[in-house]
Amino acid sequence: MVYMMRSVQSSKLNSNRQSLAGVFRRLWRLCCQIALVQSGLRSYLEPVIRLFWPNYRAGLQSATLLSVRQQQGYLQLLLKAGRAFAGFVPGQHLDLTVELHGVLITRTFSISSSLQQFLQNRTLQLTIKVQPHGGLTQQLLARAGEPLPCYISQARGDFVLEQNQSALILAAGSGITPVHAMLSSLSRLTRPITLIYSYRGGGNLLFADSWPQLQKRFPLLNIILRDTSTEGRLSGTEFSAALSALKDRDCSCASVVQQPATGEPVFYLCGPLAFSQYWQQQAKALGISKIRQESFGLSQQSHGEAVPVSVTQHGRTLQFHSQGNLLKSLEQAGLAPRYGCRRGICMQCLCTKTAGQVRNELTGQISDAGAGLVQLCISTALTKLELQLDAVSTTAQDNTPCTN
Amino acid sequence: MHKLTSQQLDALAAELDALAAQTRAKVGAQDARYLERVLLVQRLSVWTGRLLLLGIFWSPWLWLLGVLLLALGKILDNMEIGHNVLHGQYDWMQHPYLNSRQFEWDIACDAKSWQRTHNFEHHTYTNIIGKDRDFGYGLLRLSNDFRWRLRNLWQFVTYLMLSTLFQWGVSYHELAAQRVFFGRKKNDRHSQVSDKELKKAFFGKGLRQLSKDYLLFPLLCFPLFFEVLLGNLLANILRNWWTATVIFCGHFTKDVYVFQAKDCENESRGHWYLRQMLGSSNFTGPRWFHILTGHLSCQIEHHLFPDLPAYRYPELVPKVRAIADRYQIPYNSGSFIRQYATVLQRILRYSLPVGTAAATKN
Repeated sequence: MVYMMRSVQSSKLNSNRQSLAGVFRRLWRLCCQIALVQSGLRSYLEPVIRLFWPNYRAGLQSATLLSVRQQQGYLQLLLKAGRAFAGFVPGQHLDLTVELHGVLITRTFSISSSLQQFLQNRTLQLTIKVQPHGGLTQQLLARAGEPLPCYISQARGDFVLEQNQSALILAAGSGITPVHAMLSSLSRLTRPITLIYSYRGGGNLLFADSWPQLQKRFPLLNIILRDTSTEGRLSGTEFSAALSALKDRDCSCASVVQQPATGEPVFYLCGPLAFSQYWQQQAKALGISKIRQESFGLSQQSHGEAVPVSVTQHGRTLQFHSQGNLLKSLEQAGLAPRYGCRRGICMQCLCTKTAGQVRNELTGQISDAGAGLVQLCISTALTKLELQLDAVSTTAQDNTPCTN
Repeated sequence: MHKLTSQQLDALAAELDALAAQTRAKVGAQDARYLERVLLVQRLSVWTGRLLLLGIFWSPWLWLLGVLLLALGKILDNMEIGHNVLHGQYDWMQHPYLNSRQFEWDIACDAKSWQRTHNFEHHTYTNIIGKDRDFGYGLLRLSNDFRWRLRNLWQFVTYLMLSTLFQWGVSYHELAAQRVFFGRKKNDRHSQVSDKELKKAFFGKGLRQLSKDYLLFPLLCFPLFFEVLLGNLLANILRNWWTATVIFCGHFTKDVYVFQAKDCENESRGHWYLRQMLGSSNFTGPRWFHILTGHLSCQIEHHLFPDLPAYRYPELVPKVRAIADRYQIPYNSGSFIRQYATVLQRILRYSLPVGTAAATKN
């Protein structure tokens, strides 16, 4: 298993150089703040640059949306990455930002195409499950063919194949996307891998052409496709059988290449939240310790019951359950978010939501599931939520009123 | 205060909420494009202005044109862009820096400090005596609710000075309220921000602005140091006069209402809406005029819907006016000249210990 790890290597910077660059960056920022009153030159010039390059956005790297194809419940987006995109390790994900009706909508998706394809023509494929009420996928479908402004972040994530290790991969639904990138990027295989891919109904079988080809190319790869609509869900005994078969093959393989057996295979788990949670428990019960997992899909909307919220402030993360008004529940959790009027007028309590949906208590409007700004004082959490609070000082020392 | 029953207030709130929802549904690519166009004009006028300041080599008229363009750029930045973006009117775009948390404007006042005093205090407690410090800025006596002091006798001069130094007045506003440098702390004031941070933001932003206008750009054009410095100073003053005048016309006209804190305790949404309509005043003019005021010429609509893109206010004017008529709520609007004349009248009238009680209807 040999991958190019360009993006990983580029981040290994000399610490000295980093601090010098940091000083330089701060100085440059201060210069921009003085001369332009904005924190960067590119963001200041953005409206001017967009005259000549209409898709330009400061701080975002543009990508070209080549095609949008629909396969039953999925969309296949083919993107051409810009020059600034540093490459990826198969299995990683990126943020896709699409401008729709003046709104920059951002979502995280796994790259589903191979590294070889990227190296050949700098194209990436993203495979997205169509959400019946999802703003982004519905819009992409409705406006397929239009030149939509698209932007991608650098790839990130550590859900990647370990080299020279036998592996058992369990994927379900759209969870197959990073796995397809991993397997189709393989150039050689020295240890056995078993993939069990569950999908519901033949039309939802993703990458149907790839699986027989991969199976033919790599004798050590064992691909089990399972249509849950006819064969039912994978049972615990079938799972154990697949695991022990994999271990046997690893031992025989070890004797051929004259290397010690790798022992326990790495267990990769990728699918909807409930699926991942279930199989993680099962794997632990079977004594598997090396587990790598990634979950997909929107979490369920709450109907008044408490939902888990994680809040990051000063680099620390606090987790608690929120029910009803968000500002109040944050305060009850011991946080001191900034606030003002507490009735939706002044925007003082506005904070960044990185994921999850909220309901606006005044308008009843339900927010987007991706990143956005939220007015805490008039919001209720609907799904699992991730928030970022700005630093707010609670040092009231200077402020103690003078009573004499 | 104008009387409406609580049922009427609820009905008023429902109508205005519906109007807001209707408008919000229309907000989209068109508004984003508009903001971008204004930003483009602002960038171009600022830089053409700065370059034309150097034209004093050839003719002082070029220099004067430069000053006017620079002032125009600053006015657009402060009014149509800064004021509105910092209100969160464009937060729906989810733009990485054109949003109310990230944006900073070309004025001495730190954006966050302004948001606390303006977005929170002024927009929540509009024209409530003692709670909305924007009513007179703690300097001017604009109604009989304030005790007359000797210094009110020359408050017209104070007003002219405040207008000239308006950006510094805005910048110092929160520090004055918190009694950071002078005066006794007030018991009833609550703040989440320490005095130390207030001072840091005040001096930090102030120094950055001073070094930009009176050091960096004059030095960059060294042989013309004083000409450029003077041009920047004049552009700043022109901007100050304009913004102060527009803002005074929004809340200190003759027929504007003021309120007592006890009448507004636990007020309903309808009551807040009513107070916004009674406490604000509009003035009329062509579209370009509205843009130069940052659409604060539609102050009533702005106070009802502070987070709707201001570019939508003119289309809301007839609709809000129709609602006001139906509930028999006075809708204070007039030509710019007429409204400004009544502002000057108010400043002069209350500089004397005897003001006519009719001007503040309670």
